[in-house]
Amino acid sequence: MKRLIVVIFFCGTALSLLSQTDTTSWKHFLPRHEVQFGIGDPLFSSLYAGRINWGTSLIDYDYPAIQSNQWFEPDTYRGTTFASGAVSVSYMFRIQKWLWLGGTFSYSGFYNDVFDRVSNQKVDYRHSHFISIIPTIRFSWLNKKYVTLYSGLGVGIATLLEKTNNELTFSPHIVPHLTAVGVQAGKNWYGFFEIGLGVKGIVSTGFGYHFNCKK
Amino acid sequence: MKKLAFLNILLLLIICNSCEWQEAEERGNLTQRGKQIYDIWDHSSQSILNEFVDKAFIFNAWYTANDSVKRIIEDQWFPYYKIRNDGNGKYGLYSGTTLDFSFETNLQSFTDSSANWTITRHNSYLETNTYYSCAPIINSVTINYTNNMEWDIRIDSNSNSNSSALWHLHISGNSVPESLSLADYELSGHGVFALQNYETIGGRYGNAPTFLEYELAENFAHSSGANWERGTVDILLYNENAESLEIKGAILNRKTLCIHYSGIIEYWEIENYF
Repeated sequence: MKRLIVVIFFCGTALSLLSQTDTTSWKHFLPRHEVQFGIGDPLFSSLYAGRINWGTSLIDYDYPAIQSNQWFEPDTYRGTTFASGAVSVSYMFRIQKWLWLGGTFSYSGFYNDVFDRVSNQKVDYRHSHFISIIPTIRFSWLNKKYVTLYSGLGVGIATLLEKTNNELTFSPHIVPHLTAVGVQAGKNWYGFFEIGLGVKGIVSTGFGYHFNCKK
Repeated sequence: MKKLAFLNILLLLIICNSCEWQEAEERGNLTQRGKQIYDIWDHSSQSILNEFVDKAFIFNAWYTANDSVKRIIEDQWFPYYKIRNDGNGKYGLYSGTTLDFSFETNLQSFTDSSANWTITRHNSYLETNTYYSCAPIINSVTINYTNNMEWDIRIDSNSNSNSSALWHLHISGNSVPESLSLADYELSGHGVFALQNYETIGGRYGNAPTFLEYELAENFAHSSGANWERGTVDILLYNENAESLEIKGAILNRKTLCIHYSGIIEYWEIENYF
């Protein structure tokens, strides 16, 4: 408990020192707020949603194994799965010239129909919605007027909603997102490109808007 | 700057256009469900033949052999077991000190007129061949010699978790084979297998108890060193919710199985287990 109090005390002191030592010079030419819209590959989300083909199980030889409560359910096969991509919206606030705090909301969707094997008619569907909210910290290590290079990290929560004809299921997850390298180019309106790993995708891109609330 | 903007747009287009995430599964064989049901029947029937009936034939070879040959048979066919005389015509197959199978001979030879043998698999014996988790639980089989190298094989529902059967086995030739796997034989009859309802991956239990009722419409023929050579079975799979499926499986030759299911006929290549 003592350690916790000491840690909180030092964090508070450090933050107050940071705010006091802030020269504010960067505030004149670098924006403090940004809102960003992006799209990336949904590979990471697909792992959580079970939408990756891992190959055929060794025990399946000429057809998949069947569970005993499935005998009288339609014999089906999965149609093409479409994915929305990892769509994200972020808000970041610049605390220091090089330090940002904020959050990211992301969505990845996977949609497929299910067909009866004998009649080839659609009998069901499966929609997987993977939604996450992640508090994010960002370190911008090149801060020019028109170009910013940065890295970032966040860990947050996500839910997987699975919907079929008969049921709707939820499953919670803890999810990370690591931005290894990101680049922004533009002044108020800007484009960005990121490489990383997480719910925003391995690669993601999009656009955003920088602004200051007070002049 | 222009290059970066161009790269951005290009990447955006690529991502947007690659929204087909997984190709559709192949539709596959239309009689797949029928084949699955046939395989349950085939696996269950062959398990009974191998686990009970074949053991009875091997035990008979041991039972009727002289002492010098007994050891050879035991080493060849029951290398992991010891055979013990438990008295009153009852013999046990022991794995270490654990009784796995017992043979009640009623002090009769396997080919005595009206011989009545009961082969019991004890709870201590764990079935290792459990690919089909829903296969019926069979603990006890009774075999009666009728006449002329013919035996009746009975499975009583009271001692076999609601599964029952009456099969008729006819072996070609004049001598009792050492093992059923070495014999040419034909099997006819009918029965019901009570399928087990195992817990599924999703944690739900199976629906109402499911039964697989079957009749061998044409004798199933087996020759040594091979799987079934011919035979036809009519299968009705049903449960207590009055849901049902009908399947006909016909062995055309050692490698071809014809499945009739839902008005469709398809031919499947079958594996030779031997």
